[in-house]
Amino acid sequence: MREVGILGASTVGVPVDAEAYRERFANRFRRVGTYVEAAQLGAAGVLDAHPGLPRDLAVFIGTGLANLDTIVPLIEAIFHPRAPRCSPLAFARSVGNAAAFYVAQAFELEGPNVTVSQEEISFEAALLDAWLAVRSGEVEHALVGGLDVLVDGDGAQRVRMGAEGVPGTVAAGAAFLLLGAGGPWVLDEVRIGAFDPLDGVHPEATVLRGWRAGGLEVDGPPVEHRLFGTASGVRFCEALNDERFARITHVQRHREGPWARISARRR
Amino acid sequence: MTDGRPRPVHVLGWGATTALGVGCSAGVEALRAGTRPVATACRSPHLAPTPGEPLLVFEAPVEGADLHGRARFVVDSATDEALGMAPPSRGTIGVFAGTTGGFFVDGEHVVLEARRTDPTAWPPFVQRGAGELAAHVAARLGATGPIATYSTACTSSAVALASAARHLRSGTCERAVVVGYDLLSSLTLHGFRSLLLVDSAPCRPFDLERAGLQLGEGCGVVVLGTDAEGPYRVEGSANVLAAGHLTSSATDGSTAEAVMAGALASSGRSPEEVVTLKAHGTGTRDNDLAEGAGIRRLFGTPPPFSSLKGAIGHTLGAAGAVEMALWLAALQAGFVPASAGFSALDPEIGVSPQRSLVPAPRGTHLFNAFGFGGSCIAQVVCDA
Repeated sequence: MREVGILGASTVGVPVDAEAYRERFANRFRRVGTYVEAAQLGAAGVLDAHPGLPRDLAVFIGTGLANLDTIVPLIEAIFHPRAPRCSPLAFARSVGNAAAFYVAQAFELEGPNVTVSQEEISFEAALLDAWLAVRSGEVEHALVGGLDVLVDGDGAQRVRMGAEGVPGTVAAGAAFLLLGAGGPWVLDEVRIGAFDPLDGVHPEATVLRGWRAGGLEVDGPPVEHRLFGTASGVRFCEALNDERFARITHVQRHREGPWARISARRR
Repeated sequence: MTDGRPRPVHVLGWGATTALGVGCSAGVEALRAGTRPVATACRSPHLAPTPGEPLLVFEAPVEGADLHGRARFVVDSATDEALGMAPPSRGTIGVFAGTTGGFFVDGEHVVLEARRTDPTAWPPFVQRGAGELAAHVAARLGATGPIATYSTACTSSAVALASAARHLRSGTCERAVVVGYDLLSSLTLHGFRSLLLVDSAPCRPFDLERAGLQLGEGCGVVVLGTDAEGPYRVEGSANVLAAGHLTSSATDGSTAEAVMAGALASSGRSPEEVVTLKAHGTGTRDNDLAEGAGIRRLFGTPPPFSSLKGAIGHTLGAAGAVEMALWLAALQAGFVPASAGFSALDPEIGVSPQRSLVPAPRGTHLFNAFGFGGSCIAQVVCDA
């Protein structure tokens, strides 16, 4: 088994900074929505520092509710009480793997792509697949993203999603990691299943908890747009870039099932 | 890993509930008889009417349940069939699902029910996302291993199966329940109609006169394991992203050829060893041209191949698991299915799928799946 390194980590707030998007992608792309833009900016946050990666770089995206910024208006249009309609382009872009497609297009990638939606542990599910693929030698490098968006505007869509009054269940943000050989961190473990999440944790590790019964618990200052369950990778990525930590274990709970645990150590 | 070698991944069971019936045995008998249960859309009361002429669809013959119960019955019946076939296990069970929408139809149902009393009602309709599917199956089985729901459009459950094999080889679980599921939904009916990808006649994959697809629905389940031996082994796969176009891969066949060749290379097999090919074959002009040209480029003279979508419709994210379950069940029953709806060679494609049943050969079987978002995957399954 190969050692799996973390070569870089980045986070993106949502809604994305339109000026940052325009500046980075220099008008190469028409804007297609927050979900895609957050993915492309998050990917740029780690890939720009590692030029020359092969085109068969694998992409693993974890997202709890996928591209709601496209799906919710599309459903509203289809179920419009007086004039139902459906935009073909919006429908094509409504697929969950739209983020992986547009990331591949932006960075001219053609390798394996996987998109996982597993509610609160979506990021961890994507990271687990990527970790196994790199560790076994199936792929050399993997880009891993945790991604969720909520275009809330006046809050109507939050209500439409049943999220109103349930803080922490749905919000928005993106976190990206680049896995491969080397890098400042070693990704020692990614685990999902029914186990005691604190059993066997290294005694010197800083434990970040992503879950408590009835809601989300976030270590550190709560930032509204980062309070979400599905892309809990944001907190993990922030910790990787924090000089205070030498070892990190992040634990997260699926609402009715397994625990997820990620452990990493600084070289 | 055992002794430094990857653990062999065995196929231990399969099940499918589709328009052909509840259970693979019903499906196999219908495939043997050449049944095409295409229906006029849409009897299901949860589907919002589409403008214009009614669409043709392949509906699962499940009556007498509300939508919530119908959705769970489709999943649970296929799961129980597959698990009933597999030997018992004391190992850790993981659940790997593939779907485009999961139980999203529940949300559509909520909207339509609310509209019965208030035509302008907008109740909350987005619920737990696609991940509810694997969570449902895992909770029902008491699975204690990893769970994940893959959502890569029409390759979703094929990607789930490849990921399940990765988990098994890595030892995160000893059993993997691979679930592919999608029900007819208003979103997909309106969406494919808006893209002008729906044939007004029963679909004709790979045929010269093909003019689009029909949507189907159902659930397929394939049980994999490293703790027992079964009649087949999953030997390899390749997953390629074609970022050229959101809804179509290269019509010169280069992408389809690359992904099939990659899958064979990953399993140490050659094109000459392939004895059957389960094609994706949607019936749309571009998909079938891209895939058919790829088959011609890789094989020259291809092995027996067919699309099942002329018999069950396009079950979207369920297609990978549904079609593998039915294909393996047909092979076990002694035949390679015919490609329903095909009658005339398209010279631009240059190869023809099976017009009739042929005896099932033993050896290497290739399974293709392609989807929106540039997702392309091929898998190699061999007789044990």
